[in-house]
Amino acid sequence: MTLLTFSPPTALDDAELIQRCLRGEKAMFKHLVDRYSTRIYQLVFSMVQHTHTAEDITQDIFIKVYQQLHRYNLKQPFFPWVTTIAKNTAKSHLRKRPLPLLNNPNEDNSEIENIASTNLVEETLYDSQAQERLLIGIQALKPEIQQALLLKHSAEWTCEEIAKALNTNVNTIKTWLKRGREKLISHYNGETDS
Amino acid sequence: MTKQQPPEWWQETAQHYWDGTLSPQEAHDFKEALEKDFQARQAFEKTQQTLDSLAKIDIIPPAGLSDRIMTTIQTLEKQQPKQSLFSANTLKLAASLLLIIGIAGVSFSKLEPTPNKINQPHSQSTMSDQELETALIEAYVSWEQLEESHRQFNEELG
Repeated sequence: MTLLTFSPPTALDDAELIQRCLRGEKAMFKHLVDRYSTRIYQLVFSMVQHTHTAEDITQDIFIKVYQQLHRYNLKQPFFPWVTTIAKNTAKSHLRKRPLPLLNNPNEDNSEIENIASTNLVEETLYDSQAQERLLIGIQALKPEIQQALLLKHSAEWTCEEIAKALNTNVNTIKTWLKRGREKLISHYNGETDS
Repeated sequence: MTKQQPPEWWQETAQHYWDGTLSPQEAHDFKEALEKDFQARQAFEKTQQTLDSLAKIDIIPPAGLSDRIMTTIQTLEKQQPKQSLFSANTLKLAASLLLIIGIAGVSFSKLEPTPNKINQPHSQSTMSDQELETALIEAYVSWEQLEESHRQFNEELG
C-alpha cells in the first residue's frame, strides 16, 4: 500500500484514524499530519526560531510519532502526546545546537538573519535594524516567554492553547506575555534592558 | 495610561487654556494631564508597533510539508526490513522450544522409542504445520519429561 494515496478530508476523530492506521491503512496517517503539522511546526519554530530547522524537526517528530504509534494510548488525547514528542525532539536539537545570539560576535548569525529576511514581510515598513532589535529582544527573554510571545502574537494561538502546549495554566501564560511584552518593547525601542 | 477624558471637556478646557481664562492651577493641571496623555499614547504606539512586528513573523510551515513527511516515512519503510509479527522474546522462546524438541526427539529415539509422530523416521523432513503444532503441545505438556530427556542426552554425550 502506498502512503501517498489520495484521501479526501476526513471528519474521523484522531483515535479512529490511528486505529485504522495501525490496522494497515497507512494513508490515514496523512490526515493526522495534515491536521497537526502546522501547530507542531509553530510550536517548534517558537523554540528554534529558524524556518528550515523547524521544518526538519517537524519532519523528525512525525516520523517518531509514526514509529511509536502502536505505543499511543487511544484513551488519551492525541495532540498533547504529539506535543510532548515535539518538545523533547526540539529540546534535544537545542542541546546539540543552541540558538545563536546576535550580540555575540563569536556566534553564527546566519539563522537569525535568515528569519529577518524570510519571515518578516513588508520590510519597507520596518527598517532592518528595528527587526534585528526585535529578534535580539526575543532571544534575550527566557525560553518559555519567547515561546509564549511567538505563539500568541506570531502564530495567533489562544492563551488556553499555549497553556496546554507548555503544560502550564492560563494565568502563567498571561504573566509571561505581560513580562515578555514589556521587555521586548524596551529592546525594540532601543532602551537599555535591565 | 492617563484617565480618559471626555472630548467635550478637553475641547472646552483647551479653549480656556489658550484664551488664558483658566486659573494658574487649572492651567497647570491641564498641561500635566496633556503630557501624561501624550506619554501614554506614545507608550501605546510603541507597544502596538512591537506587537505588529511580532505578528509579521510569519510562522507558517512551508507548502508541501505534509507530503514531504509522508514521502520520508514511505522511504524509511522501504529501507527497513519488514517487521516480524512476533516480538524478539517470542522468537527466542520459540527457538528454545524447538531446540528442546529437537534434542528431546533425538533422546526419545535413543532412550524410549515410542511410536509418536516426532520419532517417526519420515516426520523430520515432512512434518506438517498440524504435526508441528501437535509436537509443540506435547512439548509443553511433557515439559518435565523433556527436561529429563535433555539431561540424559547430555550425560550420554559426556
